[in-house]
Amino acid sequence: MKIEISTMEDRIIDFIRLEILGEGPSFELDADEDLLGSGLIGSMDIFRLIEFIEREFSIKVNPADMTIEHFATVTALTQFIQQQQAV
Amino acid sequence: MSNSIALSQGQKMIWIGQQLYPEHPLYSSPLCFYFNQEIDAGRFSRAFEHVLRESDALRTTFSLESEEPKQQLNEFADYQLKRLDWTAEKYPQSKLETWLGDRVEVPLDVTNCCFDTVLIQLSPQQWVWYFNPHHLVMDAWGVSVIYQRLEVLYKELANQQEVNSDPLPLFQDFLREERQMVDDTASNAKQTFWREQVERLSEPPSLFGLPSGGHQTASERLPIDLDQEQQDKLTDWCSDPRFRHWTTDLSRFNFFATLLLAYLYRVSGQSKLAILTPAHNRPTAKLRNTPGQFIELLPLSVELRDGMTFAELHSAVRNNFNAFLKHAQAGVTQAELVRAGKVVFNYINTKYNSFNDQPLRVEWLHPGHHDPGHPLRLQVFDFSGEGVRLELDLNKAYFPAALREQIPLQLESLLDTFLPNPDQPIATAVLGDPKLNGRIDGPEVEYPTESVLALLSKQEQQQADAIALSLGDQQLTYGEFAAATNQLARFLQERGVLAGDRVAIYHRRHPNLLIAIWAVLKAGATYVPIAADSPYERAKKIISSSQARLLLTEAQLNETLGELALTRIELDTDAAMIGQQSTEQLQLEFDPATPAYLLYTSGSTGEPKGVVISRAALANYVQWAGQTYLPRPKAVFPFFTTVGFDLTVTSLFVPLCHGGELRIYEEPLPGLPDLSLFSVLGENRVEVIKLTPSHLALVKGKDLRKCKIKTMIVGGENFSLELAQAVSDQLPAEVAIYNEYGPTEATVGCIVHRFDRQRDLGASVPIGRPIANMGAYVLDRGGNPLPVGVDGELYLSGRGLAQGYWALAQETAERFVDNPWQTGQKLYRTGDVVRQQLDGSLAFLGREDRQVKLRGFRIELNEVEASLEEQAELNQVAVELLDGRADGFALADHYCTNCGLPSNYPSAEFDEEGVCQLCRGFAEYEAKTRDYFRNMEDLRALLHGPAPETKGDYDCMMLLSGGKDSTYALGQLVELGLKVLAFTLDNGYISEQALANVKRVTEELGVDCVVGSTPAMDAIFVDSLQRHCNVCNGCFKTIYTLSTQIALEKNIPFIVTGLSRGQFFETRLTEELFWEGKAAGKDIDAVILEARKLYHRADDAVQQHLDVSMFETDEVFEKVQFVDFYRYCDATLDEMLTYLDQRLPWARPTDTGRSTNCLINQVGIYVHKQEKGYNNYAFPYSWDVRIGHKEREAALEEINEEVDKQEVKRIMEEIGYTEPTAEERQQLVAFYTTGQSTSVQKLRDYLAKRLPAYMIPTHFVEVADMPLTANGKINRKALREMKMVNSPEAASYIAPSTDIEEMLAGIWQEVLSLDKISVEDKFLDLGGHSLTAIRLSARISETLELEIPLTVVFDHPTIAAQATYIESLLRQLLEEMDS
Repeated sequence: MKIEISTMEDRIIDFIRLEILGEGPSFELDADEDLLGSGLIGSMDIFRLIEFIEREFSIKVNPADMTIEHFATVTALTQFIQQQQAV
Repeated sequence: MSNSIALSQGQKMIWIGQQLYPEHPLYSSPLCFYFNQEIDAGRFSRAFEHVLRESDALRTTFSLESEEPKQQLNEFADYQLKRLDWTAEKYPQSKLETWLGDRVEVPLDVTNCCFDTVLIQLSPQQWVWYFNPHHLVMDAWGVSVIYQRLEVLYKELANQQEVNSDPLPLFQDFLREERQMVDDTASNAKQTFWREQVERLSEPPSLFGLPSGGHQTASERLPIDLDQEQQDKLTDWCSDPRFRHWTTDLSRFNFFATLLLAYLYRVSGQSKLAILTPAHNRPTAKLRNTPGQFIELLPLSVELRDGMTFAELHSAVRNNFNAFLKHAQAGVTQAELVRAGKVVFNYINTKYNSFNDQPLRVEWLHPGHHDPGHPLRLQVFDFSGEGVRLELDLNKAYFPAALREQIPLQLESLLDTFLPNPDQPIATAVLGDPKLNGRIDGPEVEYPTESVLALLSKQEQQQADAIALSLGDQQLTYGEFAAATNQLARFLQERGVLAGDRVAIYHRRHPNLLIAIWAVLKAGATYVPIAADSPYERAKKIISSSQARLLLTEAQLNETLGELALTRIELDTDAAMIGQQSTEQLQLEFDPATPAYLLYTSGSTGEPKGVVISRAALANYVQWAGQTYLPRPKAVFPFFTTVGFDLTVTSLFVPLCHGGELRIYEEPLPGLPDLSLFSVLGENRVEVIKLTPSHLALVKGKDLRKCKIKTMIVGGENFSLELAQAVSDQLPAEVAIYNEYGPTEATVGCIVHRFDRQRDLGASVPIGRPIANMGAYVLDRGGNPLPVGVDGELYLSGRGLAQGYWALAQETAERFVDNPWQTGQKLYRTGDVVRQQLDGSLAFLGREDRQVKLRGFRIELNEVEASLEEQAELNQVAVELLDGRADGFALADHYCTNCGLPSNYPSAEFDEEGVCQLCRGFAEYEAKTRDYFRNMEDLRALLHGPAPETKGDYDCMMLLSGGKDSTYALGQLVELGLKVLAFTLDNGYISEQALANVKRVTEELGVDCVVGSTPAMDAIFVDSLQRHCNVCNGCFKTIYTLSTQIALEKNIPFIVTGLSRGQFFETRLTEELFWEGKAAGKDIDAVILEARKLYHRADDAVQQHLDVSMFETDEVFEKVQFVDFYRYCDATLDEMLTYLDQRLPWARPTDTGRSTNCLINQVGIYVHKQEKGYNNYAFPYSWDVRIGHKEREAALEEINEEVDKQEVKRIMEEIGYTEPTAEERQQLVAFYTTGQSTSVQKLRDYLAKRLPAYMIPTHFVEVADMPLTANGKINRKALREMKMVNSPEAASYIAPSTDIEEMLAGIWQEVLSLDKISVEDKFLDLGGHSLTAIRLSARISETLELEIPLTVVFDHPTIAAQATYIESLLRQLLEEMDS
């Protein structure tokens, strides 16, 4: 289970680093880093991120679930995805 | 033209808009950058010129190539930034303002250069950069990218000549990507989302009830300046956990979008709304750094509920905007999306912080015009980062100047309400400045008296010999009238009637009725009128409820009342007794607050309510009416309406109080029609008349040019403009027509408007302004006064208000509320919806209860009626919302004694032996059907027929359901030595045991089996339930489609079905096919094949979700033939079961709990019974019984089996089928009378041009006479109860006019089992389908002795069209014969 979580986190972090920020592997992004408050990613980026996680983790993100709480950090997002997968 | 590129979808929308208004700068985006620093003009120019070389978007121009707009890239090699030096000017600032004002209005020539820019020096330290790009090449974000690049280059060029930083990305890259995305099928889901968004919407609602502004583009930009306190509250909102979103910009967006939608809800009255807002389409960092035009307007829609709070709406908006962003993608916009709303919301999140490290100020200028399709735009932006700024762009032609001023205030008032109070209902917020809103006062007039008796007695004294009353040849002078009323008043007093007592009056129109009314008043009492045609129960109820001390009546009516516990005086038979009283005048001084009358009106509960009107209220109305209405003081006035209706009060008092003559028209005995209006007009004596619009409709079209009427007072009902216009055209021009509005509770009339043929607009004649000493308020649900243009409820105040309802304290308290603006005064809640128009007059929009909701749309039935009334050939119109279900369906009370067909099966008829017409008919032609059937040897020959090299691995495919029929058939095919491929559809609900049968049987037989499925199955079920009220249609079609695909792939020449013989007769074999000369199987097969082609090409969910391209050409029907096994095999049930039992591992499925192998079957049965009243298996089973394959009792047992409702509901939820609720079944029905023939299609087309689709009635029902109430109003209750002939064909009727049409009509009626068919009705609309089409074409062919192909039925779908086709065919044949 532990491995699965960290894989999920890694895949999300990779996507953010590469596809959203256009940075290389040397760019450090912590799973607990505040994505929104720091301005690291903007609202437009989040929809790309949503598309990514829907595709990658076979879940559907309902408009009502598009909240700060679920998207504040990679950790929070991973938890949300797991909840969705469990449903 | 190698460098020509197509426009993006977003650009196309702008291009189309600009093409419509080429003269105006609709899409210019002028900005001014104010620098308070010294600018190196040379360097600035070089920097800009460098940006120009980098930004391909700026260098784009547009032209038409073969009618298509294209964009080209230019070099602009020698471009130099224009500079102006105004340092020598005396007033450079004002020069700048003038210059800008002119400059922004110059349209950009996009064929030449898509921007305009100038650098202006005002003083050494004051520079202005003016930059105005066309929206075709640049959006607001793009401007900020240009600006930032310019700043970078300006700095970079300070120290060096060469630029080292990375250039801007190219806009062309985006255009290419966008093109790909438009073509990419992966974006289908997104496009579907947007298509659904607009499908749910309808035509955008009118704002403030204003008509379209047309094509005037001029607009005004008005700011809403938020002060620091408002900005702070907004900041708090955006960080409130309840409302904040991912970014501050998103939080702000959601707030302002909610605010705007709440505002639109208030000023449009509609609950389904959309605003258009740009999707930014810059998902990546590269695109965010590309200057160009990326945005596309897309609708953000919501549906508001009554009572919704701002926070609730905010939550809906936030969710919907999340969905909006999720589905936004470059290229999805389309004209219909851009036109889905009238209002645009632009939230611009660009920042301009500094230039060259110094602060700057940026202004976005208004070019003076914008797209008139969006008369209102709200811009919200925060360039400096110091707080948002709001700007409204308002189309000048749409919003009159007075209204434009109010809009910013109104929007701001909502902001001030909801920022601190998000939980307040939207409908209760103050709109604008309440002090300026919603109160309209009539003139204050001090009339001479508060007593009608004073007015009458003056006439009695001054002109005792003048005629007061007349009836036929009888006349009564004022002197005689005074004597008679004095005598009766004394008589009443003698009988113990005291001031304030109630005296009921039940009397037909007659001088004695007037004497009674006035005598009661003279006695100081209150009269209680009872309409002479009141039903006995109602009369009794009024008498007892009013606690009348006495009843004044006439002998003939008195008889009808039976036993009553009160004194009754018959004014005719008791005349001698009354005549003994003195004729001397009485003492007439009474308290003005003493009630004059107690008038009963229908309450919404059905119990009549007595309205108490004081003498002062009556006197106020009568004196005002006398001054307003009487063309001369002594005018002749008719009395021809019932005293039970307060409209008549005008006639009872106004003429007599002013010395005129009241001409009485007798009324018939109860139960007979009252035609006295025609007597009034025929006699042509009266000069003033008071009547209802329904009365007026009766005289529409009559020649009234010689009519003596000078004043027409119309009241009691909504007065449509069309009727007013029609009547005014019939009357001499000088006739004054008044629309008098007033509930009984405010004394007859309290708001009035004199109809103006030239100026009055809208659907109804305005009701106008309050009369003397009366006031009107338009209030919202929270009791706040509403501004001009906004719908609200009308409240009344003033001297005319009733004292309340007699002995109904609670009802009185509910309707007569304290006036918060005038202490001690009351307000009467009318329940009427009105709107104050720009000229200050009030427009009546309908009753609160005539306002209906249909699928979320708020509809004023009056509005639909008024639009229909504009149709000249219609006389009277009433529109009601009714339950549109095919209800009225009877329960089956008989089953065919032979086959078990239930009596509620459409068109079922039984003879005296209880046998249905289908059984009787079949007995006639049964013998002929035998030729259609073949034997097993024929089957073997057919299936073995094709040469092996022409086919693949299989001889045929068997459609295997796992049930007995198809399993038996499969076994037989194998025994015939055929190589069979079995096909089974797993529709998700096939029984486990049936599937197990399939598996076991195919294994046992060594047959390959394909189990097909489709992800679209649920959608197909839902569609089938909606279209056919069953699941089988969709399932069968899926089986045929998927199996045909496989047969084509595997080159299998035959698909064998296991349909029973009963099913043949149910679906294909119609009686007509077996008529003389047609019986040859080949002909029948040809017809069935034609029907099959139509079947596969029909539009439904299968068509939409499965690949049906193979059915487009006829080739597939040659390559793959369908063969019905039981056409060749007539094994009995016993034979089949024995075979299955002994030879195959087959077991009857039991897990469905029913005689079916499919679990979803019962959903179809349930829905069919709900919607149509009978089991959908009733008909096929009747055939099984008829041909001897099933026992009648077994069939009956099955069709009457109860379904498991819980399971049905569960499956419905699973597949996503929602049962139509009672509300969803509601349909608008228009009832009308007409003197001439009209077609429903014409009415529909007419309305479609005027009303949104949801307001167009589903059914149009012509009635011979419009039912009216005793008061002359349309009797809506009667309409609602009218047995609605619930079929579109009953709606309009155009009779056949030629012999051919006549002949066709006969055949259609027979085939479709309808009584009456208009020649314009469409075959499919009447319930026609391919089976009936076969019957129709066969019958026509038979009658004409001509071959009429089946396709004619579909290509020429009406009787009229078919007649035209046949006529030309016959002509052609005649010509051929001649030559």
